[in-house]
Amino acid sequence: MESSHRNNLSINQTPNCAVQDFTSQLPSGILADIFTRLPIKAIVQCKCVRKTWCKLISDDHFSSNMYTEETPFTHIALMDVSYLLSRVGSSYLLEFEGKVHECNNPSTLVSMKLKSPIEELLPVGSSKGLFCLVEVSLHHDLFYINNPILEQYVVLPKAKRCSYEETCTMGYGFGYSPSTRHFKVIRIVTQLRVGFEALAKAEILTLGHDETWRNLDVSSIQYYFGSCAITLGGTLHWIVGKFVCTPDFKTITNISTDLIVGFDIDEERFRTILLPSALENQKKQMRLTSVGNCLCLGDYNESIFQIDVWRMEDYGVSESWTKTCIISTTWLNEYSVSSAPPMIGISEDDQDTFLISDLNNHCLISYNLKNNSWSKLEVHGTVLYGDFYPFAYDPSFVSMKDVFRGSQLRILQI
Amino acid sequence: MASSSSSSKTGLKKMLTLKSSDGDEFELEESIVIQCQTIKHMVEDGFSLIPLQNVDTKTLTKIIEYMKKHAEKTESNKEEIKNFNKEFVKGSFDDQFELVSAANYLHINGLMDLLCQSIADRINNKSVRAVREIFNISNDYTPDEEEKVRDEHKWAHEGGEFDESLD
Repeated sequence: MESSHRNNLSINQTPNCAVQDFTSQLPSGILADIFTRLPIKAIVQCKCVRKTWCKLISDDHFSSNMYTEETPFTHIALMDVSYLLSRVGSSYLLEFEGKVHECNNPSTLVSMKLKSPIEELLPVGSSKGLFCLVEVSLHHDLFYINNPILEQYVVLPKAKRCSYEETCTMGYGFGYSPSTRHFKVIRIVTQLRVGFEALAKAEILTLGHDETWRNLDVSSIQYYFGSCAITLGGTLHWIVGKFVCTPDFKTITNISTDLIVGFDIDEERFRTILLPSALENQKKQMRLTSVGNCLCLGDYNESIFQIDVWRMEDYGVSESWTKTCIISTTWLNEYSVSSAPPMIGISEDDQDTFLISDLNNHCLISYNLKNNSWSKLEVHGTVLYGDFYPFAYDPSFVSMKDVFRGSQLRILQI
Repeated sequence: MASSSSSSKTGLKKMLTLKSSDGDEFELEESIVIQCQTIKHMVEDGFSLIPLQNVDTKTLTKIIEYMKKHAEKTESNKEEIKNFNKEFVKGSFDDQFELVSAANYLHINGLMDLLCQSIADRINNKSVRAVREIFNISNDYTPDEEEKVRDEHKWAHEGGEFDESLD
């Protein structure tokens, strides 16, 4: 049967060679190498060419191994978190052709709008090609796990909020445990209590394993949590703080953001990490990110338009915080919001770059730490309105049916 | 002529012989051949006649042409090498697949990179039908199965123009 197909297709071949499908004779590793050099859309199209191509692309090995330092593409997800201001948030996937640090000024990025299972979901995080999104309501949190490329998703069991008469802050995290091959979602609800310190409760759900949320021991971490976690080496990290609030809940006094809390996804244990001692008792506006294998802190000073970047050279050792650079944020000079701009660190070829959301000018700033130079990245095909936060993202072509094989999770198609 | 600083310490250029699967022999300087990791390891093991059972004369000739040119690589001839690479990948697909298999077997990383990128560039932006025709790929999907795979990823097949040409 195959040969008759070949004959049908053999129109424009050079006459001196036998008509042959050479791709079928290539070792799958070479074919995979060729695919990794294609943009996501072309890879998805290749699944339709031939069953063996589809199988190769859908295999876990392909997605797990394709995004290495040598891969010509870098992917970043831009998630709009401004839905809270009653606007509809959209998300985009940016595909950089070439290294981020080599992007010229002005550079154009290819973007794809990411489909979300439902509108107005708040991004929690991404891991191995899956996004975790949450629908926040008065009564519960409803989490969605979504593969935007394959347009598949699952809905997790509802998580109850604390008694809804109370005011809470929420911390969320999504991560993967390589040793058990499980994805986990964690939520930390911190209740604000008049005149008292915060009261935190934490729950965790192992995807495809737990039917209900499990309680975690949080006696050591009675703080309020920043909403999204930064993943580094199997640990989720949040900037946390302590405060006491006034009776009307409107003013929060005694704010001190003086810690990072880490949560080991494997062992399900919390730890605390101190901030640079130079920042103690200072007014701070911080963003946590990672670059290379180090935790990084950007401390934004709006009065002098600069971000001091601190890097923790030796993980967990607070003495190893080093001020790596000072980013002069001249492009933010009309920045109306006084909080630190969202940023993400990217390491390639020993070059560290920060991508910083410029919410005022609706673009991304690429800041090269080596040359202390910055350039504006134009995003092709869209205008970035809203509060866009950059997230690290490694595409996955593995069907969620395979990721959660054998579990009770129902895979739905968007 | 390739001037090699990394050739033998005595100043004499060490020569090696590569033998193709067709039995043809090619004598080359060691400094040129060691771009190929597989041969490099054999040289380290003391071989000086290297039989390559998986590489025919036609393919080996092309690979030697590549290695000779790339052995001349310096800071100043980057443009020349770039043009050489561009010409090098112009051959037919059959030749390219032979070359890529051989480059993989011989572990010539630079050549692998060049060929895989060149093949990827030919696939990119092409319609599924054009990709099949370009590479002589037999469609092993039934029409129903193919429809289903397309349906699963509608977005990837919508919007934007796909190139139906076969070049």
